[in-house]
Amino acid sequence: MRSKRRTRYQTVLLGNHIADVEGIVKSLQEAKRETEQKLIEEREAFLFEYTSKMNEIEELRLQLDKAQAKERSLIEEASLR
Amino acid sequence: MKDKLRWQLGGISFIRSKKMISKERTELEKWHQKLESEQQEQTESIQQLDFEIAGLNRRLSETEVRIQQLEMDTKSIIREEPIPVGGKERMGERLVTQGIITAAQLEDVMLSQKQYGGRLGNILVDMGFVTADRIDKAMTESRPKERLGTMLVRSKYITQDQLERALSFQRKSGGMLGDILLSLQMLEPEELYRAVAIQNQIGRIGEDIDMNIPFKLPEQWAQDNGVVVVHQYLDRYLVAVSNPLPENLYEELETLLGRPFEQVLATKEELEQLFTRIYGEDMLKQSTSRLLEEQPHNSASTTFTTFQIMMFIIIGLSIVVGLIWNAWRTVLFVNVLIQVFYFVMTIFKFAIIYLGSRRDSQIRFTPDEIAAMDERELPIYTILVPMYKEVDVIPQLIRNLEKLDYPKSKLDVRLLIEEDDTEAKELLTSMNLPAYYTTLVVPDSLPKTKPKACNYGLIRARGEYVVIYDAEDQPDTDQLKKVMAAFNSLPEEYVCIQAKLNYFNSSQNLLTRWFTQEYSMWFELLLPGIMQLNMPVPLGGTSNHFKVSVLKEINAWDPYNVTEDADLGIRLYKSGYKTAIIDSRTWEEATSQVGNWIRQRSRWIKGYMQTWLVHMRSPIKLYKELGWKGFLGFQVMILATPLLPLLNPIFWVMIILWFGWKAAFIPQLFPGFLYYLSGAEFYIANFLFVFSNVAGVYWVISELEAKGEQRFSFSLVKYGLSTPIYWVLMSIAAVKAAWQLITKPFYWEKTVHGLTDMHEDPKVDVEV
Repeated sequence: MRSKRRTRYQTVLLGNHIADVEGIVKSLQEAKRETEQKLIEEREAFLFEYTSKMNEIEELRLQLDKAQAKERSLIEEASLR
Repeated sequence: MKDKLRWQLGGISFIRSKKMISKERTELEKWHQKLESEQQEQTESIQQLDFEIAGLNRRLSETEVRIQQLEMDTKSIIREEPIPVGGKERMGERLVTQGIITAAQLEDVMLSQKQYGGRLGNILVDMGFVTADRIDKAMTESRPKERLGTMLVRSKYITQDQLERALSFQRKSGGMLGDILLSLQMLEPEELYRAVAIQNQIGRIGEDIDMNIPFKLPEQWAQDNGVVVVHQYLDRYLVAVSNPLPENLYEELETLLGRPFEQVLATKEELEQLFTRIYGEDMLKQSTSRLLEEQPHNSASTTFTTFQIMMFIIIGLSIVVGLIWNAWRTVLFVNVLIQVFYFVMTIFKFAIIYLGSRRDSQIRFTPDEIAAMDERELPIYTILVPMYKEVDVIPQLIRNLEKLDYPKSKLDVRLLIEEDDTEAKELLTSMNLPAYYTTLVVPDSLPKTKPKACNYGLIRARGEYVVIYDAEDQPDTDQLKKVMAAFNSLPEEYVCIQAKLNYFNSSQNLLTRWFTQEYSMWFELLLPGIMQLNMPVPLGGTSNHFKVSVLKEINAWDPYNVTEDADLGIRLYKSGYKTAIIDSRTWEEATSQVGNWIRQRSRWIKGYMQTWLVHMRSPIKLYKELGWKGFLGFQVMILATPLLPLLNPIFWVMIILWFGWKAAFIPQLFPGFLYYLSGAEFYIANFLFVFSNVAGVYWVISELEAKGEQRFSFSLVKYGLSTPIYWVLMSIAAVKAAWQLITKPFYWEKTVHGLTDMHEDPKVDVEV
């Protein structure tokens, strides 16, 4: 296998300069890292929003249960009369 | 970064550098995709939660309002009179009467039901107003499942007399009572479906359904079983169906959905709309690219293959080289080829016409045989009517379809209109057509062709058999029954029946008279002859009847071919299926204006050119698929039809030059035997072609006379003598077609219909 070092100092007739290629590769890797970072940040933001909305749903359900229980008792009371 | 020529230390080869960069790019792309898909999932989840929160908030506020009302006056609310619902006893009323829920609660539940649909009981339990056990207990005394007819009469949707009438239709023609009631227009689809829903104890779909569709069933499964997911509740999906699902599908559907489901009943039209909204894009894709994806070798989306271009270049170059080498010999050689081609085509075509003149070359049934058919055995028949900007002929079309002698409850008429045809949309909406008509709007996309519209209409066709009619068509009233009799009597491999086409406005002018003669020859003699010889039949544009399953199996029509009908005939034959010609006619409108005629004919010729190029991509394979007879028939019908009108003008010019100026070069082109061959063609073949047109129209007139119909008079025959002028028009159209094949291969030259007064009685056509 050809070593990285040998590749670096290879002489070619048709080709690009290694520095140009490395520059592009580096910028692509940088973009990848940024995307990865964005993904992590968005996951965190989503989890936060999801949890808070779930809590809100839980809270609303409790309130609704209470209200419905009250409504039922009022209906039963009325039907007893 | 541009590739550079380098000779230096620190260089890297192009291949290696491209590999390195593309590896990184792929990685980056993957991360982008991951990011996008997660963002989408997250948005959907948040939307669902928002929806849930909004629902809970609404219910909470409604409950609080009710509590306030209850607190203000408990007595009046609970003992309120039940909501009157047209004398029909319902679960909601029963629960209110028994004091299990309040009228206000019922009102809220009904509002929710109106929005999304579903069973009232399930929504009551969902909203926490009552438990499922309590409902069951309250409803144990409910009425047992009764028959639909009895229930409709009891609920005053129909009268007892109407029921009796519908039942007598059912005894005669079979079919579902609901469909019969709709076809007789005794009740509206909404009323019927509400009744069927109550009968089967399932809900109706909501009126103002807000499509919150979290799950899309696989399209094919949804289409096959007529099921669409329309809404998601916390614990179940709501699925719309037009008939209650059979129990054997429950498990499969539940597995597909991954959670329980509840059925809601939708009318056929509502279900069509739902399918269009949910699967519209898939349906459009299917109608434009299914053949291309599954059988690219049969699609005309590519006009010329590289191989064909190479072959044309080689032939062209050979002629040029020949002309340089020895011009006269080359021209003579080409002329020999052309004359032999003319000769073979003439002999073969006339032989076909001769065979076609036998009475048994068409499938025939007597009126008594048709009258004796058991209507209960007849299947559902789909009629596809593609149209574009033909609003003037729509009322006549409906009248013609209504005249068809076929149980209306077994018809599935699909009117296919284009998205930008607003006039047709408005007219059809205002017409309040019977329930067996469905108006389908084909979304605007390229190619904008009739076959694409037909493919779109075929996807949800309910029929076992399907036929295409043009908007101005007047089919014989017993055509569908005759076709069914033919399918029943023919072997299984017959999957297509072509009815004969002819014109109702033959006497309008000279052009329509020529056109009538040509059509008479084509459909009365030529196509029956092809059927006799068992060769591929290039189908006519309308009145071809198919078995739906086979049509779908071979991917229906090619949307890129402008004579999709002729192409389909060839593909059916290649797949081992057969076509028969039936003795039943559809009367069409012959275009009466020269410009319009040239537009129509140039499209037909271009389509034949496309069809020839598609199937001749691999001539040896085609020869193996069709056999020698089929292959020769293919060349006679598909190659000769566009090629002869292109060649004719060359020889007409020669005739003029010879008879007018005795041009000296002409005798050199026809030496020895070629002179006799061409002479025979000039005198005999031209006579035969004129004669075959005359024979065709004579054939129709005498057949119609035998049946006591008088559409044409024998005076039409004499116009056959002027047919050569008609051939000049054909050549003009052929040149236009050849030019369009290269410049605009998929362009659909629209023929304008409705130029004739359609209301005229066909009998006035008779000249004495």
